[in-house]
Amino acid sequence: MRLGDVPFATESTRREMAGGIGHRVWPRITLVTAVYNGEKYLEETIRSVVQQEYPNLDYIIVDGFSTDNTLDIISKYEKHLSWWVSRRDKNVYEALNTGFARSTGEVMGWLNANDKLHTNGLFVVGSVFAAFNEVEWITGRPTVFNDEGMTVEVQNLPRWSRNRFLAGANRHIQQESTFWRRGLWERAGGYMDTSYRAEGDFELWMRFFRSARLYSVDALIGGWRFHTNSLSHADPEQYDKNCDEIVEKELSRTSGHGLLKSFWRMDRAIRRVPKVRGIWHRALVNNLRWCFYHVPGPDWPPVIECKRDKWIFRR
Amino acid sequence: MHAGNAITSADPYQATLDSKVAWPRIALVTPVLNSVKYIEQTIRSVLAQEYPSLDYFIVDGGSTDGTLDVIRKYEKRISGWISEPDKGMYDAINKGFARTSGEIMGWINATDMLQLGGLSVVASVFRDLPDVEWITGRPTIFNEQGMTVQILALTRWSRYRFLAGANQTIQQESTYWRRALWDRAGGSMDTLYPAAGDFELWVRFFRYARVYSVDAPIGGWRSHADALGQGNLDHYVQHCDEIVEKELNRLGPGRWLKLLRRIGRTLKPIPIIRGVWRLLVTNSLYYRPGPDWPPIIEYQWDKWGFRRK
Repeated sequence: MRLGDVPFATESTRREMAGGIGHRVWPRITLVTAVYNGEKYLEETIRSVVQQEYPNLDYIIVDGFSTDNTLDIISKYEKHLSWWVSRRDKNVYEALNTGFARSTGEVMGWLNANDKLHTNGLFVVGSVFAAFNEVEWITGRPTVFNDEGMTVEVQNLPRWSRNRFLAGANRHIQQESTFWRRGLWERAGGYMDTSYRAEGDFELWMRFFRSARLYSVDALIGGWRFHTNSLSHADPEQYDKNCDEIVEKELSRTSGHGLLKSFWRMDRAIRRVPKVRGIWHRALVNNLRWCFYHVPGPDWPPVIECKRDKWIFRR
Repeated sequence: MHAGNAITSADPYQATLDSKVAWPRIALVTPVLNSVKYIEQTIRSVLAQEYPSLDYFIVDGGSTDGTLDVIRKYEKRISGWISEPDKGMYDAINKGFARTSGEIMGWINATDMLQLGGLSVVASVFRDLPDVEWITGRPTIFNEQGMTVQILALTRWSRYRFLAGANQTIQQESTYWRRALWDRAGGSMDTLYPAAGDFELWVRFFRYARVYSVDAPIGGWRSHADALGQGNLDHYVQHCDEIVEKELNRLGPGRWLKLLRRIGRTLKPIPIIRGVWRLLVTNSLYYRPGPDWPPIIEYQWDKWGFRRK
C-alpha cells in the first residue's frame, strides 16, 4: 500500500452517506488549513479530510510561501480544494484570516497542517449542527496523535463554561475538534487576532464566549498531533502568561464579574511576593481551578451524545 | 503511489513508517455475507490505514447483493478474496486465516471499522513489547453512519474474572494476537457456536496468555439495526455459559469458580437477591485487581510501555 492509492467512494456510497440524516441537506462546512513548510505531515492532514468525502465541503489551504515540497502536495489534491493560495504572511492567524475571507460555509473550523480529523469527523460536525438549530459552537472529545499518526490518547470529555474559562480553568479547548456557525463568527467580529503567535485561538474563544455557549459532543472529531515543534508547547510559560493577559483584558471590558476581577487582582498582587506566590498557587489557585473544572455552573450547556442514531442532549 | 506522481520523497509514510524497523506483517480477515451497505466503508477503513505490510483477505459466503462488485473494486489492493458457501462466519474466518501468513492476526467484520491509525498501534505495540502476545484496545462504537459516538473506559482483563462471569465482552474489533498464540491454542475457530465463536477463542487463548489492554483506539463496533448478536443476545449469553462450563470442567483448580457460578445460577430466578448478588459479587469482580491482571499498555513519549501504578 502506498499513499495516493486509496480510491474514493462510489456515487452510491456517497448518496447513502448524504441521505444519512433523515434526507436533510448536509450543512456546508468550511475548513481552512494554514501551512508553512509542512511537507512532513501535510499530506496526512489533507487525506484525513478528503477521504471522508463529506458531500458539502469548502476546503481551503493557505500556504505561507513554503520553500519545501508543500506546494507539490497541495497541487496533488487541488481538485478537492475550493481554493488555495501561497503568499507571505505574518503568522498562522493571518493565514487563517485570508482563508476565512474566501470561505462560503455555514459551519466553520480550521485544521493545522500537523493535525488530523478522525474517520467521519466532518459528518459528526455536519449532523450535530443539522440536528440543533440553537447550537452555534461545538467541540468533540480531545484526542492526541503521535508522530506516526496513531491515536495515543483519548481524554475525558470536558464541559465548558464562560465563567470558568475566565477564572482560568479549562483553558485548553481542543481547536482541532472545534467548529462553529458563521453567525457566531460574524457576531464576534469575523477575524482572528494576528497580534499573538500561538494564543490566537484562545483569544477567539474569548470573543465567542461573549455571545454563545460551547457544547461538548461525545464523539471523535479531530485530534492534535504531539510533535516537538508545536507552537503552544514551544514556550508554555509564555503561552499561559499571554492567556492570562487576554483574560484580564476581557474582564476589564465587561461590567460585573466582580468576584472574578478581585480574584485576578489578588492573584496579580500575590504573584509579586516570592514565597507566598508558591503557596498561593499550590494551595488555592490549583484547588480552585480543580473545583471550577468539576462543579457545574449555571451557564454550563448539556453534553450532546448519540442515542439510536440521533443526537440528543444528555440528561 | 500512482505512476507519474512526482512526490516520493515527501511521502510521509515512507519517511516514518517504512524507514524504521521492518513493520511486522498483519494478517487481517473480513468475513462477509450480503453486506453491501457497509462493506465498502469497512474495506476503506482498512486501506486508509496505509499500513505498509498488510496481508488482507476477504472471505465471502456467496453474497448475491452486490457485495462482490465492491470487493472486485478493491481487489488489486488486498491479498486476495474468495466467494463460496460456508458453514457460517467462523468457518469463513478459518478459511481466511489459512490463506494468510502475517505474524500478527485479527479480523474485522463486514459492518465494523478500524479507527484511524489502528493497525499502526497494533504493530508498534507488538514491536515495542516482544513478550506481549495478545492485546485489545480501547472499546469504541460507531453509529449507523460510521461516526465514533462512544468511547468506553479501558477495562482490564483477567482469566479468572472472565470465567467467573465478570467483564466478558472483549471487543473483538480491537483485539489482535500473535500467530504463535493462535497456533498454540489450536489454530482454528470453533464453528459450533454461530455467534459466540470469538468468546470461545478467548477462552482458549486465556489458557496460554494474558490479554493486555492498550490505552488507544484500534477498531470499533458498528451499532446498527441488524447487528449479529443484538437480536440473539439471550442465545449468545447461553452459549457463553456453556463454553465457560466446559472450560471449568477442564480446569483443575477452578473449584471456587464452579461454586461461585453454581450459587449465581441458583440465585438467578429470585428477583431481588439476584440483583444484590450481581451488585456485590459479579460487578465487584470487575474492579478487583487479580494476580493474573496484566498492566495497561500506554504510549510513553515515543514508545509503548507498561503503565506503573
